[in-house]
Amino acid sequence: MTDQRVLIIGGGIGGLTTALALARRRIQVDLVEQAAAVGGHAVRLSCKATGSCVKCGACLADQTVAAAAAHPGIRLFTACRAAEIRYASGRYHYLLAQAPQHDRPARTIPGEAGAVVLASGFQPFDPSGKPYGYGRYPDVVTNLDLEGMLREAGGVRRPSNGAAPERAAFIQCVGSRDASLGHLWCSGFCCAAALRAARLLKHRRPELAITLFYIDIQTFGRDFESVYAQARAEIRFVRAIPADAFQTEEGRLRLSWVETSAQGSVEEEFDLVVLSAGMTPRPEIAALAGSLGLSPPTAGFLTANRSPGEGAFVVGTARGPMGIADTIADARRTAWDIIRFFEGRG
Amino acid sequence: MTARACIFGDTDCGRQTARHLLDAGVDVLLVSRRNPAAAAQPAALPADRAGFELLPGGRLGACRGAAGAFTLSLESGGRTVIRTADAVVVAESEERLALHPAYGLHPSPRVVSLSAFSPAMLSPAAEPAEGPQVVFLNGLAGESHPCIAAETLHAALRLRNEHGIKAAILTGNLKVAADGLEALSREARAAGVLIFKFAAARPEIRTEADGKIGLNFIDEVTGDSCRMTPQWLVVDEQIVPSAAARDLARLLSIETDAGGFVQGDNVHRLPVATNRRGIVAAGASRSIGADPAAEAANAVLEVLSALDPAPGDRAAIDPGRCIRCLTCLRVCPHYAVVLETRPVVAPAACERCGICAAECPRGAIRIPGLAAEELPAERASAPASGKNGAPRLTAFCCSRSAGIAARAAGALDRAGLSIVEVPCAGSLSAEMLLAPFARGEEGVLVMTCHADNCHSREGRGFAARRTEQAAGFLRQCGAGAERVKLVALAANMGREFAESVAEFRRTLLTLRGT
Ligand SMILES: Cc1cc2nc3c(=O)[nH]c(=O)nc-3n(C[C@H](O)[C@H](O)[C@H](O)COP(=O)(O)OP(=O)(O)OC[C@H]3O[C@@H](n4cnc5c(N)ncnc54)[C@H](O)[C@@H]3O)c2cc1C
Ligand code: SF4
Ligand code: SF4
Ligand code: SF4
Ligand code: SF4
Repeated sequence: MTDQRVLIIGGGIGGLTTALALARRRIQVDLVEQAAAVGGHAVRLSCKATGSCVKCGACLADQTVAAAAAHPGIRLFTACRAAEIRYASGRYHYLLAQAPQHDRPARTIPGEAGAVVLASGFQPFDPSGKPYGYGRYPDVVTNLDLEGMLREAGGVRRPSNGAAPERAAFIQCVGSRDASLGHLWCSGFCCAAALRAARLLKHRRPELAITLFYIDIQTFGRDFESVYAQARAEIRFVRAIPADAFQTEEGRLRLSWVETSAQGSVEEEFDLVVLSAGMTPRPEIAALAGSLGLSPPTAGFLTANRSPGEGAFVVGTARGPMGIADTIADARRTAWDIIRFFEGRG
Repeated sequence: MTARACIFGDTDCGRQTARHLLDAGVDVLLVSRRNPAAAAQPAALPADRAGFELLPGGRLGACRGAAGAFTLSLESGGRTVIRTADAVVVAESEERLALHPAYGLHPSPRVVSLSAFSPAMLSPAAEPAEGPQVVFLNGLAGESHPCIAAETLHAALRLRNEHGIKAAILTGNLKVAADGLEALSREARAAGVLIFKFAAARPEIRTEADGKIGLNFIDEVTGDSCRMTPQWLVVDEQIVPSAAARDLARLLSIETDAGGFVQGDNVHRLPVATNRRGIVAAGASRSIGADPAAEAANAVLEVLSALDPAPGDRAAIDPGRCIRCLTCLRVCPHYAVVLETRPVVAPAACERCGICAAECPRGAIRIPGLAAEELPAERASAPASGKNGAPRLTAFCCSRSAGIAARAAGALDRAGLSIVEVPCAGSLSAEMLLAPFARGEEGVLVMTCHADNCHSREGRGFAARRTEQAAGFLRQCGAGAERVKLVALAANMGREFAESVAEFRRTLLTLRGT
């Protein structure tokens, strides 16, 4: 089994965890990542600890990146794509095309593997098309933008003027659970992400008033009841999704929503609006699946996790929305499936 | 000799784990709580396989030893059986708790719990009721779970589509965060299942004189008041770990979470590890709704890695120095110290956290590579000089958290800074924290993970105590307790790493003036 090799497409937490699990069982791995660095979305997330760890799992991604980079059985190719993959007599023959990097010119790397893993992840929903003024009003940001502010700048400021926000709103389910878009799925991670982020902001600046607009709050973590109870004491929860956002002359954001039809529409102003943008399938997923002999996506994601009888596997959020913990479990499961496949057991 | 794994739990996950381990050449002992008569269909068990042993009607009495050499005392049919195993898998089932009491209800033929309910039990309604004939309660007495939501939606939809019976679901947060559930909830609504959601208020549920159920509530969408008198009320359930899983956790000294699920609430245990190497938690004993096949695959990988030869750099006790105070046995968070005629470290179980070595009053424990002089250090290149030169300081970093953050700290000014990585900050003794001062350095940072994020549970706590000790010592000699400082950082806090160092430098510069 020592001469076995696996090609992994995508270096997010899913691809990296698969790579490590295989390498630790002495299977060689080539991993291609199109971006300049591995880690995917999870290494753009911030730590939400408020005095103690809140179990978001984000730091596991940074740990996994460090472990994968140090493992001699894994070759990481960043700024790289699989230019060609051919399946012939039980082997995948591939050509990787790597863009020039600071220390070396562009190059192509040929290779051969007994199995291929598609771990290309998800695409965060782009809310520009929703009537919240994302892209037009500077103080309307996405959850990923917020994570970036926390991680890179250490705190949250209104992008328009650099001031600390006084009244912030979170709008849940943006781009998820949305029949008008044909997105008939819950993205699963964004209630957890919003509650943890909101509690962190509140922990840092107790005078910040936070309103969270939601449809249903999804259970997360191992201590949900108590986390949720604490969140309800700190944050105002409104079970309604605002229809739209307008920027006032003073540069504030006016949201209007309907809680009960008896009461009619309500309006309030906020100075920062965070859109909990969900997960969508990556646009090229169907083409990638086709080239690997995987069944085409249903509802956008690749629900089947492998090609019957052949060595193509799918891992992580390419299969549908999942958080970091589930992605890790999915990755290790796939590593074991591949080991069995190599042993001729399925 | 062939390695052996002992699996507790005659569950789908347990049986799949057994089969895969046998395939991988590992012997398996499956301890089933079922007695032989009620045992699963033989076909479900790999009973015909060499290396497989089934212990029916069995349960764990006691466990001694550690990874690579557990001794299990098992009780089965009134006798005690002793078996050894290299690894243990906890793959017990979950249990369901009917929530009747939480709603102030009593079980009756018309007030049934979700898993007891089946459309087949409905005799056609004697008197055609107005409104829904079956009402489901979901997540109104405690937060629900996608598993429960899925069963509720499926049952209501089946009533509607296959039996033509009107059904309503009264729900708190509808938990749709699982494959296909949002689509299913829409399908149910479209088929005519009524779904009423409650944010803060709850429906008033009354058992009336004739035994019928009356529900009164305000519809939160329209603001209208509603009344329902269904023929049947279906009460949701809470999923809890089985008593067997809880017993195992206690007997095996493994962590549990707030709800009693095995594995503990620590992200380092994901996916199926526990605080003890060689003991694996899989399936329903560790989490709700996990896919048995995926859990089994994860469990097998974890067992195989525990069976790999232990690296040579684990803790070892020098019998010549040991006074058998058993401190190491008490403090080891991974239960890797076992008591034979004297305490010894089981290498396969040791995580090399160094806590025992730092706590041993006799310095009797040696961990290769972890003595002060062997630590991998990135020493300050340019010793600072002059009155305003950058202070020389050492940052001791937990390699799982701050050590990774340090490497990603882009804006870090490294002048005068030495970075020393340790596997766990719990391995730092007060002497190690004071050593840099003896070399003329001006300050020491102790950089650990956040509370509740420590791989070795208490490593951070030990580091905090030793930082206090070192600070006390510095205070006594008039050097300033502020020269040693504890900072908590996650692996993704590179920016905060640089900021902490910069801030500490400023403190040290002010101390120069005093
Ligand atoms: C704002 C936000 C907050 C979140 N918070 C949490 C949280 O608190 N807890 C939690 O558990 N989860 C959270 N998540 C979810 C978490 O980010 C995902 O579960 C995780 O990133 C999924 O990992 P992945 O490897 O499947 O996908 P990705 O992270 O998307 O990684 C896929 C990788 O594949 C690469 N790739 C794609 N196509 C190709 C190709 N053709 N060739 C080469 N490379 C390719 C991509 O560049 C990327 O690096 C959050 C997500 C967001 C957006
Ligand atoms: S799990 Fe999340 S909250 Fe906990 S330390 Fe890691 S990044 Fe911080
Ligand atoms: S997790 Fe919450 S915010 Fe995200 S799609 Fe599901 S319900 Fe909406
Ligand atoms: S702590 Fe040290 S002296 Fe005490 S039993 Fe352990 S090795 Fe021996
Ligand atoms: S180094 Fe840690 S895991 Fe190993 S024996 Fe000592 S305390 Fe236990």
